[in-house]
Amino acid sequence: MRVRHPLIRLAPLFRASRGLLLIGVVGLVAGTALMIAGPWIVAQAIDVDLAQGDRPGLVRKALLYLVLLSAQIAVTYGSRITLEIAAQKAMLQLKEELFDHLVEHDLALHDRHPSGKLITRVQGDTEALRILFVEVILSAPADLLLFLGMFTVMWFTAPEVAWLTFSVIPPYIVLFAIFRKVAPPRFLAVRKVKAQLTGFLTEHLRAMPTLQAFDREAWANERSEELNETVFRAEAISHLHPVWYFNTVVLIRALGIVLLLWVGAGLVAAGSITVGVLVMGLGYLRQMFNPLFRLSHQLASLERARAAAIRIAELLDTPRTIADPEQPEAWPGLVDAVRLEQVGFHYTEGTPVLTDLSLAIPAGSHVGIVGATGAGKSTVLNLLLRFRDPTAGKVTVDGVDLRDIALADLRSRTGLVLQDVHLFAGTVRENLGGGDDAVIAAALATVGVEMPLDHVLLDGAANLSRGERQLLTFARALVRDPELLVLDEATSAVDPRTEARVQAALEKLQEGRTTVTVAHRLATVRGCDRIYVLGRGGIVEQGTHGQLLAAGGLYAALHELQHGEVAA
Amino acid sequence: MTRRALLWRWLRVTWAGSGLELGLICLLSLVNAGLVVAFPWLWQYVVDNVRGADTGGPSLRELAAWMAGVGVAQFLLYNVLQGTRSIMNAKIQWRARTRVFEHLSRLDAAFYRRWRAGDLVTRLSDDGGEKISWFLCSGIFRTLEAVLVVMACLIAMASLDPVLTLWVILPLPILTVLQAAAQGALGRRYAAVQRSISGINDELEATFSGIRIVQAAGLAEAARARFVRQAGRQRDAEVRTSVVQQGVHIMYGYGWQMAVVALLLAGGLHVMEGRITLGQFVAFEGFVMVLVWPMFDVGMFLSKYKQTFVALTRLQELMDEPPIARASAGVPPADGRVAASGVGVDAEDGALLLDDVALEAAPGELVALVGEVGAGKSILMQVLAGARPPTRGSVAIGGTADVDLDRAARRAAVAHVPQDPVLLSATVRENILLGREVSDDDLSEALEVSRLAQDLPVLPDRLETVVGARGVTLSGGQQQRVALARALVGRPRVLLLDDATAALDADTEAAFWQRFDRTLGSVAAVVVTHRIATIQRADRVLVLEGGRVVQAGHHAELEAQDGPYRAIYGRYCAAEAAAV
Repeated sequence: MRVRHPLIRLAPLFRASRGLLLIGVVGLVAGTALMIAGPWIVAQAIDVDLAQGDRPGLVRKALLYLVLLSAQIAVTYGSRITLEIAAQKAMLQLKEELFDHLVEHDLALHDRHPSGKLITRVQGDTEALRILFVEVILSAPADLLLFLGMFTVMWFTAPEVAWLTFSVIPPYIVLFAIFRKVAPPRFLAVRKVKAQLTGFLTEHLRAMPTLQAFDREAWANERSEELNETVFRAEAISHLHPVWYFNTVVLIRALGIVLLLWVGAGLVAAGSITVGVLVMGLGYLRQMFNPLFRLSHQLASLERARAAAIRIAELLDTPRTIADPEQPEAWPGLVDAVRLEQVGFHYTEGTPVLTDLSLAIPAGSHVGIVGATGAGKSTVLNLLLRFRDPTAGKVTVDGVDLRDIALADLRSRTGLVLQDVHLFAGTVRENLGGGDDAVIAAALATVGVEMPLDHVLLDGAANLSRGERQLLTFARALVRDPELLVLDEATSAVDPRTEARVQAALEKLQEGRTTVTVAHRLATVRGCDRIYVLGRGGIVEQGTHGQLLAAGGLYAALHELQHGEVAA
Repeated sequence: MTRRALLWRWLRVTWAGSGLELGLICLLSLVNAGLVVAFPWLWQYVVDNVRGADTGGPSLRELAAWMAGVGVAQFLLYNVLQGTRSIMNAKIQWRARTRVFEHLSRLDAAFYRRWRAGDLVTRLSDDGGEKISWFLCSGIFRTLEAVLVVMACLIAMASLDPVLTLWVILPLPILTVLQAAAQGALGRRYAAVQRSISGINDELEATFSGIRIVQAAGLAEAARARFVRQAGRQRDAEVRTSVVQQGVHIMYGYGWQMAVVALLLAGGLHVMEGRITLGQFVAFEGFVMVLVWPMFDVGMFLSKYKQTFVALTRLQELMDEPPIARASAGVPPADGRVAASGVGVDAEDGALLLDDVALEAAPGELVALVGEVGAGKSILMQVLAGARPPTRGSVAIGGTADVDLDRAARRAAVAHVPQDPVLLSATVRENILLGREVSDDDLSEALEVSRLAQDLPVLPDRLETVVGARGVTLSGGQQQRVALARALVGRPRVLLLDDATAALDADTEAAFWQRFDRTLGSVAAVVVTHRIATIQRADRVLVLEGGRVVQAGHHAELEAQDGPYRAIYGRYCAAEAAAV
């Protein structure tokens, strides 16, 4: 199946601003029409006014030229701004679409693409597209008209030389075809080798103290010299392509002019055309090349935009794997238990993270999950809240598979608190998910934070203390009144007074709620009704804090180790 | 440094050795100006010829041949001129980058602690890229070309009709003035766009990196609202910028035609009065078009001026950092005895990192450093390695104080394996050798002792396996073994291991020490370690607390004493028990 061109795929974006687009393109075309009139006026002035010595006539022609020029400038300027507004509008819509797509998309996609890459999609690639639309695609009708219009005028005034103005086109088409074929791979080569250079610099500047310790600066410098020379060669070659293209266009134009003057002069001498027409032809030949010159430096951005369009289309077409079921079942209400039933999970085939993990979280209980780094704690968390689907087995709530519950339903019944607070620049209200002010205020009161809802947080909530930030994340979970609450290492070390405040809030948060605490610090799970110890892809121990200590296994060993840390 | 001095310095740096290109560019620019003007100049004869106005001028056929000749000559010449400029643009980047990199390679570890690598990379690749190269070559020499073309054009025009010349060029400088005015406004508006872009980027970063919370806490709506608001702001800023930018474009695209109006009026009258021929009138129109592009080039030059100086200043900032003193003609260390006495180190903010530390390891001895995180173990290792000069006290290798040692010989004698080894995206072999030439025996010994040899069979291309970003990801233990092999292959006399064996399992580490004793028995070793076996093996254990040595002695002695050592040791034991 032939895939649709990515640009066509993105065309519907312009539907909303098609009025503006039409005005803009028509305006550009009108401006071009006026441009065609210029050389014609000069021709008339030469043939009529100068020939007859008609001074008032000459002044009238000059004024007409001035008026048309002013009109042309005004119309073209207005149209360009109109097109810019239309393109910006379309790109804003595209950005919103991308944002919506990404913000609802699987964790898997986010894990695969670091946020920096996604930002480039949303910001950089849309910018490349905008440039393409404004500077190339939307200008094309006017550029085409410039060609055709000038040809038409010539055809009607002097068919004998009209064909001359067109004779330059076939060599030009060949030229452009060659340029289009040979230049882009060179541009790509430059981008590649520059990426290599950036990689080299990042790595070697980071490693510089090490290299110095081994007295290897000279070696690093040699490699820098080599790589920079490679960049130089690639760049020099890629720069030369627009140069020969540009100059060949100039040459074709110059030879066209020579041909026109030579043949035209013969025709003038023979009396079949006037001098004015010859001069007009000269004027047209020079102007109709302007769009072709532009192409010499636009080709690179054209290629970039094409690549950007493909990447954006790919991203938008990436289906969600964590999606709503076709016939969702209602959230059953969590009266029995949340269960992981023979759950297996792997990120890449062959390297399992979890194998045959089964555990139960009875309704209303507080369960702790601990284990060494890499034991799969975060994976269990992601499975419980359906950020990931298990590769084997299932996760159920009162017997209902999580995959059969509508995501919105699931999310509204569950809550998550992470150690990494993730508070955003914005008001407290926004950070707590908006909604009913009374609910938000109540949640704040419950965790013991006094703060106006309109209080504005700075980026990363830098204007709050660490304790306050934690309390706000509790309030954020509380606002949704979740039935299942998952805490991931929710508290971090703070001073003892704040610790007490945080602890009190945490207890209030957990009150009457089924709670799962995923923790590295064992102190966090000490009070849990049941603690599962993860290891080797499954549960290796379970029990209460006391039972596990008494058993003298992995938990006891970890406890010994951490207890020491705390004491120190 | 004044702007002029800065510009001169970088022009000298980047153009040194390219005198030929410089001369070629200047010469061709001059010839080019003549050719550019010659083309319209010839038109007058064509027009006058067909009007029968000429008296013995060249024939039409000759004129056509001349024009074609000028066209082809200009094609050839301008390809070379523009090509040379392009190549020089690229060469300037090459020279600027290698020059700055070379300087960076001579800056000490303290510099690398102060600067983020990302910032350095941006300065080298961005500021040392097109931002300066365009201006230092194309910018300057396109302006030269423009000035020459304008001059040639003015001379040609004035020789035909000085008064008409004045009329016609009158509107053109207005372009340059408007351009300069627009640039100021454009700069401010562009800065506003940049600000809104970085605002959005922060917003997106916060949203995407916290995607789980955004989804779990139902924050998507709020995040979307903020994004839309900010993106709208960016759009407004961009539209405001384009209002000015398009104005500039239009000015250059069409503004010059004002000169055509002036020509039509004044030139037409001059033709009627018989002061110029119709052919000269047509040539004048040609000259007007020739004059447009130079105005654009000058405007471009003026607009890039500021940006270039910002970039040059950012590069110069790096060049102004004082390098490590050149290797003095010092003495090489006599043996591997490493000694620190009275060593104190203050942090950049004045905090005390090390205080009055004394340490000595004779050839063949093993000294272990233990202590809490932040006790100063790694700092002390850096001081011993020579990567951080002590604020007080001194370090001596082989009985010679640091300042009197030959730098290269000191570096060869002392090998430091830091906590987090730095690997390059290169083969395992390159990562070990770092370009050093060593015998096969030395290499295989280093592989054996470091225990890296046991990893090789599982690596796809053994020693030639490419690791890092574009290759195989090594485990933490494998990375440490590569770093160990890297240190050992130079046959050091002093080995400093900063927790460098932490990711090795206990058996591997035991095997490492066995081999080490057998083949490198005369090496003085100082190690930071949590391993009980290593601590027990050490000739001396130093306990650091708050930057001071609070206890020192053999493990057995320390265990018998009442001090912090007991608690620390107990914890290490517990940790090992838990890991099993």
